[in-house]
Amino acid sequence: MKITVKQLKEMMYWIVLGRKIEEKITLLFKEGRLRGHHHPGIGVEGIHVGCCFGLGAEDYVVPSHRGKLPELMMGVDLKYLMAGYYNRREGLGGGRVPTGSHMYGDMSKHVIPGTGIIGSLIPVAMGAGLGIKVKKAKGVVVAFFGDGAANRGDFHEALNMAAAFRLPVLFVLQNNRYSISVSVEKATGMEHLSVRAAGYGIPGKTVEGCEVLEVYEEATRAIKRAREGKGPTLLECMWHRWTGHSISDADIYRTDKERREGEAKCPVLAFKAKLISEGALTEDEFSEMEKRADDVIEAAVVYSEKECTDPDPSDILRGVYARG
Amino acid sequence: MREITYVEAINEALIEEMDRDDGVFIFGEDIVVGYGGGGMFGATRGLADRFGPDRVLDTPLSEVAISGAALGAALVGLRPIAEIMFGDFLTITMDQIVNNVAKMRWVLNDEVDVPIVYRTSYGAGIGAGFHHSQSFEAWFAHVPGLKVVMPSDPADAKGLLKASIRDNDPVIFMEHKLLYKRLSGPVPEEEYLIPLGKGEIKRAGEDVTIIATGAMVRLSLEAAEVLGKKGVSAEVIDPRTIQPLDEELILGSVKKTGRAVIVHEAPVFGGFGGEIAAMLADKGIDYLDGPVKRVGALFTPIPNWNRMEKYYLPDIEKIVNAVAEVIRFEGR
Ligand SMILES: Cc1ncc(C[n+]2csc(CCOP(=O)(O)OP(=O)(O)O)c2C)c(N)n1
Ligand SMILES: [Mg+2]
Repeated sequence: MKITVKQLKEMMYWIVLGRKIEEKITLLFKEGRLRGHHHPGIGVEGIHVGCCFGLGAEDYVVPSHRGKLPELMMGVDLKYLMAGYYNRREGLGGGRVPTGSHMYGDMSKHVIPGTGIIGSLIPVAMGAGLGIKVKKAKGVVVAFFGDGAANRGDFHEALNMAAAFRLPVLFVLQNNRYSISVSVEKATGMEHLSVRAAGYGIPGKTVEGCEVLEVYEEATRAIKRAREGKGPTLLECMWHRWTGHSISDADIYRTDKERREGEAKCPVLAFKAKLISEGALTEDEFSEMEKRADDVIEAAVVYSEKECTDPDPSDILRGVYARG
Repeated sequence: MREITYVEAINEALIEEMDRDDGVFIFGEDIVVGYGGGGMFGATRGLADRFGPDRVLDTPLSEVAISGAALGAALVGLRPIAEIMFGDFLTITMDQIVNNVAKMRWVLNDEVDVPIVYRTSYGAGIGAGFHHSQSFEAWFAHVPGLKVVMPSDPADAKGLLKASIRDNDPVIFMEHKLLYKRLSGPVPEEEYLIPLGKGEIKRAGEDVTIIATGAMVRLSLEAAEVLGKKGVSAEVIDPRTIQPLDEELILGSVKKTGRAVIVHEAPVFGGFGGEIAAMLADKGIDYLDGPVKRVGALFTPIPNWNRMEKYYLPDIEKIVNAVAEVIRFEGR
């Protein structure tokens, strides 16, 4: 697969940005500057960059509760997203919705809202694929969800129908081996879930989520296949949840050994080391990326805290039904 | 009497009933070691250690499987308790609960018991947003065959949960998440049960009856204090179970006061308050000296920003204003 040095650097920047956003938001929650739900996405960055890097404006994503990169890579402005987190009028959701974790989207950027009812948007992603097919449009849909979500009936019904109708959908199963405290092994008796694809007669593959280029290669293959009308793919990407499930989870069920092994597979460090060893990136360039990401995030925080305004509580009355 | 929290009362009820009857077992998501042990709110703390992995099970993230499994287990002679982590996820279980669970006794010609308790945490007030805050009690109360229990304080939570576990019909047991750790109260140490279908007068009064459930009971008690200062004596009634509903208690109170205000957390339209108002119109019209008013949430999804959530939910002022619309008093 051909990929330019410039593109590699872009990918690196997204990964750095994704990591820094998660770290910053976690900090803002700990400091009490943000409230509500927060499910840190530290560690998931490589999956998102690998899956979204090749997407265009005709494509759609359905994010999960982990990580913000799919929506940002589709063009959602970080300021807008952050202001939503702060429940500001100018932000995504207009201050009303649990931005960042549960259900928020922006159809102008082809970001279909994820959901707090874990797994319920998998059929919706499939339906978007159906719509694209019926409209004879070009796009593909990339749906992100976890190993826990894959145990909902919704997953099975959606994959079957997507397979039967040959819909242009890439199902990205982000397997971090846990659904809160319940391990994949306990919940399914298996280690990997990509084998389920065989049950629907579609391709299924497992990759290491921290190997960004591997994810990119498999995602690109699946997306190409989908664009050609050959139907969906189930791509299982392994990753490690660096934190408790959410900021309120004491995380007593995982061992330190598990944590150490998981954190050894860091998408940021792995990709950085690879690019540097191949001469595609210098330490200085990496530091610049970090600074650039810090600046963008800081600007979004300042914008949200200082420049945005509180909505009027009565704004919740708007948009329950269509006007007129 | 010793005081314990709402969630501790629930935990005690579970332990006592599992001690008492080997047929009682419990399963759900993350109830064993999740969130520092004992699930998101600690209701199942210590159960796994005490009763072992055969009677305390973590399930996959599979609400359809959980809700259906409870029925299957009940049909082979057990008394399952199924935990649905958030009341909002009951939507996923509707097929099993409404189409299968509720009808099974009737389908089997009244020859079997269907002793299931679906425990869930419901309700708003902690900024959890529309997917973790909804109150669906009216939907379930509308289904023949189901019972719906909504304790408002620790003592009721314990007595009602024990009775629900021993009940031979399926029960939707709705635990208000705002109360879990925030509300403590006296709970007897000796064994007691609170029968389903028996409400309680939580505060006696003469001028107006306020009928409330769940977290709205405490709010109504606070509103009653405010009203007291204005010279209005409010009686607060908690039906405790809305299916079956203690009509007698409500009618008796309204007969005395002549006025009724109903407070629940779900949106007013289609809420169970309409059922009580209709019951009063039907059986209590001669007692009423004014209109029946309902106080509930606005007809919108539940916002997660705390100021919006406050605006959305009933509050003391809304209750006091509703009372003012059914009874004239000074200082209004
Ligand atoms: C239908 C439903 N059931 C349960 C939950 C509670 N819950 C939220 S996230 C989660 C675990 C999800 O695990 P997974 O899909 O593997 O994603 P991860 O959090 O590991 O990224 C659970 C059980 C929920 N939000 N929705
Ligand atoms: Mg997981």
